[in-house]
Amino acid sequence: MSRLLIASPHRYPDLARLWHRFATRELVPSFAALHLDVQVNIFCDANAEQFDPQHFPNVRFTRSGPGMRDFMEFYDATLQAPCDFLLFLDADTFILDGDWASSYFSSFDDPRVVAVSLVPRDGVPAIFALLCRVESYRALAPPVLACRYEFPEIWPRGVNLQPGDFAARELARAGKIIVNIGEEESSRYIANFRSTTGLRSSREHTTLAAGNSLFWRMVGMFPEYLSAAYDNLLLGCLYESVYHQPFAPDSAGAALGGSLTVVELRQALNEVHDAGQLDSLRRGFRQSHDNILRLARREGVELAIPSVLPEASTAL
Amino acid sequence: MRNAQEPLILLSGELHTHRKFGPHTINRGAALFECEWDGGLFESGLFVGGLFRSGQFAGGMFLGGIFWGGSWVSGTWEGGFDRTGIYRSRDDRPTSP
Repeated sequence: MSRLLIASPHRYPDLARLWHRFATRELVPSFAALHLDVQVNIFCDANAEQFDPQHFPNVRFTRSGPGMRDFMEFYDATLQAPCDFLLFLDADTFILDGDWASSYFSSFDDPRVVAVSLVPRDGVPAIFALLCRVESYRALAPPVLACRYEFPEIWPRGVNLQPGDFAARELARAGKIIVNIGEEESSRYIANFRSTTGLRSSREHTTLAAGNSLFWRMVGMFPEYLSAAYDNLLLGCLYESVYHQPFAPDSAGAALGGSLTVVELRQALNEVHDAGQLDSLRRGFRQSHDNILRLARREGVELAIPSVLPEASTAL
Repeated sequence: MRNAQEPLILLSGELHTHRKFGPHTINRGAALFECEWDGGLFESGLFVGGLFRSGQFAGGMFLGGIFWGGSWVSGTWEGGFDRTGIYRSRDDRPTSP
């Protein structure tokens, strides 16, 4: 029997609980039905002591340490785990139809196929939800999956390869195939929330190194922070509905204080005056709003989602 | 007019993007995004996504930039690239020359 490891790096146990809930319910049975021995691995990139094993039945935990100091090393280290296939699944990526995902396992009948990318980045394969034939990736020279910066001597005009990009290029050069699921199909079966962990860790790091006021200035500079904050707000609504606990709390326990609270997000959005930027944010918010409702329907819960945009805007 | 040898001191609460800082710069708490650091003393603050070409990193946090040269004395290496472009993970800080 072939072994499939579903692996995901996590920094925050609340998001990991949501991820685990969907992964074990939607994914594990579908792949197990293909007569695969399916295991789930959560890598605790930080806050390992906060991950209560009772909240994560049937999970193998790994912690950061030598050889696996952060999520980037986790990718390569996990390639050496006892498995034949790996599904790397991002912490804020939720596959809603396991049968759809597992249907692509037959792609490996073609020996040239080394992976199936279930969520693309800008139209090309990415590591967000990557089902891999492990032996093909192990054959590459390490580091295999970590990001890298090519041509640093011409910074800032070098090439910043994202995790998995280098491996994908090397495998393509060797005549291997990564099946690339397109955006339209992917979004029908997968709900993505982007940079939600990145925003929380950014608040941690920035506050530690440069103070909270500096973090607040960054919120005004980088629109992607607002998108991530809204996604955390939505995930928080779902989390509180399911577990009745605050999501992304700060050190005082305030809900979303580790991201942007509802009040902070409203304040930040009030300071966005560019109509084009507001339109872009609104479109992203709408997509995320639809995504969280899809997750809520799976849970059979109703969500009370606060409005955050300054003008009267339906549901947002 | 600034004296060529007078140090430029960056302080906590300052945020700089896409700037180059020369050998007479001392950072005491500012956040630098996509900046080039060439010869100064980085005592504290945040260095994100830029190029540390030369100088001394003596404190603060390094996150996602390229450590091309200079000396690492102290601070938090949260992740970044060495001069070959290979990613160095958390705590895999540059060795002192």
